Amino acid sequence: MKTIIFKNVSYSYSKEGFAIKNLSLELEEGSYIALVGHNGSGKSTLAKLIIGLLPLQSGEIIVNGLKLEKANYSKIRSQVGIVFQNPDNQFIGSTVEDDIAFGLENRQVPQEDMRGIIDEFARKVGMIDYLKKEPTNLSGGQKQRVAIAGILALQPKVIIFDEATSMLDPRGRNEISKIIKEMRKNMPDLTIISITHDVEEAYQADKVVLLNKGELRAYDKPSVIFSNEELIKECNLMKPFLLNVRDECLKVGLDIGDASSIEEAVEKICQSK
Amino acid sequence: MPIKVNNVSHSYYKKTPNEVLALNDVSLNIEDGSFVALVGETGSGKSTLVQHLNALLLPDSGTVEVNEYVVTPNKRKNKKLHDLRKHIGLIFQFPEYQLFEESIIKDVAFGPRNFGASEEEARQKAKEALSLVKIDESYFERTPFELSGGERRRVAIAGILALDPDVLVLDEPTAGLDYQGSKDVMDLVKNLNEKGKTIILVTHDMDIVYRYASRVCFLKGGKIDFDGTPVELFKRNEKTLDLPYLFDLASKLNERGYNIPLDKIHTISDLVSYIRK
Repeated sequence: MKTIIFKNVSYSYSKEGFAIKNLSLELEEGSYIALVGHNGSGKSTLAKLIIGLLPLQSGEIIVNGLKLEKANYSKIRSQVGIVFQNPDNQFIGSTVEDDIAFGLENRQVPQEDMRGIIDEFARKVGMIDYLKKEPTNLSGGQKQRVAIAGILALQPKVIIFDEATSMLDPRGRNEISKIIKEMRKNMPDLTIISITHDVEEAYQADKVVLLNKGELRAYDKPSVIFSNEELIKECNLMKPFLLNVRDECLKVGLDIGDASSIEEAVEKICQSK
Repeated sequence: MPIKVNNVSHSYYKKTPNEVLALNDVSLNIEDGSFVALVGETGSGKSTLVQHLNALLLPDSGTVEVNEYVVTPNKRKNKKLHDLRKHIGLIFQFPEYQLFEESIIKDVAFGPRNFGASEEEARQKAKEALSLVKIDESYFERTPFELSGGERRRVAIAGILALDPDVLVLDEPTAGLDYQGSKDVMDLVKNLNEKGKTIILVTHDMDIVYRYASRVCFLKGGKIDFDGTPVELFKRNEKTLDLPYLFDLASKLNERGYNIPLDKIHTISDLVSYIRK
């Protein structure tokens, strides 16, 4: 099934040009999709269009079977959650549990159910010991984890990470990528869209959507996209480490194929001896 | 300009219940022309330490010696700090936020002007600095605010280079830049080091440490927890650090019987050449 369908979508902020230009795309339910492209390529615009934060100007978007239009906004928003870049801009509650409860209150979840839901999702993101803590006492990574718990508590169909780790230190980044891994394992129906500059993260995704100047340049498996030298040069992307290893090995006549992890690369190099 | 940090301690929010000891009896010598990386988690004291190097912060106890300049806890005893700051250029995080002039050349010339250079001299120095960071002459009269993120960062760095400091301290110079932008900045830093400038680099990025630094200091809770080569640091903290991919791959291959000299590889092709042997 397709979770999100874009049909000929265009969007422009001014008369001068398009932020999104005639884009058509279908995203598979339960897949992990990396949305890649350099600054100004239209990645964030696309995310904002999906939840109606920006009004659709032309074309059509269908989210989980619902056509994106004013009448469906609230239904669609209850199925799609976004984690934004800056951990300090999305903490609303005065404590961790208040923050997770905020979305539930908006959805009028009965008080007696709330306690259990908050605990469940705080546990999932490893924040169960921090329920009474205030945001000033949390690290950036911890705040992002609370934001994720708040979204997952609403049981969305789609979760979008809009450069959610770019302001975190390596420890914070690792925490978030661990949670994403667990989500992929334990919530197979959840579609994860990650807007990212990190090609190493994109390499781990099921599919990569590559945007350049508002246009869809490619939509394919990461190993296919990042193996296309001309394309990644044109879009100013770095090649993921493991593909660089593959290519350097090929230069000396060693064929190790596409490894998905360092362990796998080690295995393949040892076998080729 | 060798730098000697002698038993420096520094607290924030002194004499309040929130007092934090950010540096705890830190000593450190940095030789001329070296490339030192300072690493450690957020809050470990890296930024506090570098702000002592040109006396933006004064130690609560201990001293910082840079050539004939001595920075002590006593404000009145500290002479010629103005001079010291010309020798040690400090580039903060996101330095492009500090751009303010109407043209790129004027912005870069601001530093030399401030240190007493004539308009003509200052422009000359700005030109030299901008050519170092590879900003084309046709851009000089334009506003800095229409440049890309990476270019703006380089213009901001040129503003410090125009003072021709002997020591360059950079706090996370690649944060927030895309791949090409980061590479441009790091190539520039490497180039400056090869020309003899001392580089002190604060970073979270272990790939950068492995690729560029010859020495790394790991700060933890306001103390220097480790001081040595990048390879030694990675070997010691294999479990807790975000190891560079290159190091990780090479050391895993070594576990399987290869013999790759970890301190001699800087690129993937270096590594592959040892696999073939």
